Amino acid sequence: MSLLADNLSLSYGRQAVLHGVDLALRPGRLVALVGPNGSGKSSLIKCLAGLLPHAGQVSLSGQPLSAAQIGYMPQDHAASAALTVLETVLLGRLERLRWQVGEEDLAAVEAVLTRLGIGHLAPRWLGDLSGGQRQLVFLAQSLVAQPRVLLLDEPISALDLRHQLEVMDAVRALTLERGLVTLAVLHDLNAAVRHADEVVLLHDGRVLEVGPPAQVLTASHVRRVFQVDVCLLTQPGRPAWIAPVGVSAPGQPWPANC
Amino acid sequence: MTAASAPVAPSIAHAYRRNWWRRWTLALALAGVAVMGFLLDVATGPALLPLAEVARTVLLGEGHDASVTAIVWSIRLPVACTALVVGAALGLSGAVMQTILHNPLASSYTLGVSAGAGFGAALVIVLGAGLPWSDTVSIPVMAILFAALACAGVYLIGGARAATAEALVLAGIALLFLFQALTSLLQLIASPEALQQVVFWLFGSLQKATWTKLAIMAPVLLVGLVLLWPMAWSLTALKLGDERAQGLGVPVRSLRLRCFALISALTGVSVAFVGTIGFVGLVAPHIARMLVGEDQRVFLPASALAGAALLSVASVASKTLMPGAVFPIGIITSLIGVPFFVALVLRSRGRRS
Repeated sequence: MSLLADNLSLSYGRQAVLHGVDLALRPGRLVALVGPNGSGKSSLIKCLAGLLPHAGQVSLSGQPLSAAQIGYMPQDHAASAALTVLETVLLGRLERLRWQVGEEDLAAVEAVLTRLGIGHLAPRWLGDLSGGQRQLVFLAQSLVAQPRVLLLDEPISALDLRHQLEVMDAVRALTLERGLVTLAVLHDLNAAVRHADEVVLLHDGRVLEVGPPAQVLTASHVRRVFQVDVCLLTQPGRPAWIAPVGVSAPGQPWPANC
Repeated sequence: MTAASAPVAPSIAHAYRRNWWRRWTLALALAGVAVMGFLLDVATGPALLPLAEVARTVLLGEGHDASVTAIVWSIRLPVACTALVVGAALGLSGAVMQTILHNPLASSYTLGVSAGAGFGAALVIVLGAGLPWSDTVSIPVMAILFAALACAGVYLIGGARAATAEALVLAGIALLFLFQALTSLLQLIASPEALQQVVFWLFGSLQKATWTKLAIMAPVLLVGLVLLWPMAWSLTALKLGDERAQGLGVPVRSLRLRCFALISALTGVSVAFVGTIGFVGLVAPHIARMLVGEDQRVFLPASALAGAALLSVASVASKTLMPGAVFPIGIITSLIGVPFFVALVLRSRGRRS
């Protein structure tokens, strides 16, 4: 059940955004998609979700990917709808909903809300929630239809530290448990190091490197892609901690105080 | 692992069902107001009829008094039924418009769709003497056509791209001015009879209602409701934004086009027969939203019911404010609607800052 992207290209008008991206994402693994602003992360996620017309193929175990197999969580959480949390999550099952909501739909919503620890929010209005709570609600929405592929665009950007850990742990556990193909755009490199099995580093619409976090997020890669000098603080048996030192200038020697 | 530390509501499903019925009860209350407004609407007029007699005549077909029966069936009922049907059509089209444009200030009236329909109708009144069809057919057809043109304008400027709420409203206002100017031009060249007809009709009035016109309007409303029925879930998803709706499998573009077609028909046919009646389409969805939220399965019928109730009550007001005179109903709804509109604008600005 691997997700394969073959030679994906996308341009907005004359401006090319993605240049022949190839990806192979295996089930049960949480993959982080990292790269600077404007490198094409969101565009890549949208192409995989089938929301943008693009060149190239996307397939899941040899078959074209269908909308019903995808749980997609966009970046924008500013929803002004007068809907309750329960109704919002219910919409994640849009393709199965009949006029009268079925018991199995409500049971699925209850299960996913409980799983994410937000069952108590069910009757609240979406507009009354904090940004972080809303992010959890939309994560629940993307999970409620039991997708095979989970595409998350910055799932933890509005969350505090504790919720970041909780959400990513939950995503990771679900990925393992259900054998999901999970791709998450993460801005925080340390979150990628901590939570991801694999990292895809995107640079100017091209995949620069794919592999385990320690192999991809090296000081030289970060400098090349983000123009930032970092120190990698390593402890035996723990993932490295990426500490930014400063914005790098061309030709500048590596900082000595790492 | 995520700690499920937060307490879970006893049964989410149970709470959901209870909430669902509570909302339909509120929608039913709106229907109750509409029925009360309807009965009062039949009872009031140059001669005030007793409510009991009105109810008997409406329900049984005839009352004790033959003159009352005649007044009710030939004069009052067409007007009162038209108020219900047109109110519902305006409320419904306003609700759909606010949903598909993500904008609480959207309605046929505020975004120039009514003005477009008005221009189409005025075109027939002023220039259409030579047309082979009767006015009863050609006026609604032209009104719907020009309502569709105005919708296309709003869609192209505001709906197709991710335009801001401001850009959208400005586009609508531009269309409003354009069609008003064109209608003024028609008035300038119109014969005195046609001019009088156009002016009367621009005010918006229920007084020229007939059973024939109702026989055209009611089916359009009914078809609109039936066609919207299966779109309810998709429209609810659209409230969460285009991208998210698309991700959930909603064909956003075609949904929006279908809705605009329905809005054109609902607005066009209403405007063709009763003129431009403002603010019902703007206010009714807000009342519905406050009461039942935006699950479109309840929101759309509730908006229609709120519109019917509003226009019926406005119709009563138009006849009772000044004894012996009937105000054009468009003036009444505008007098009620303008303060509401201003409050809405102020509130949305306050929220943003």
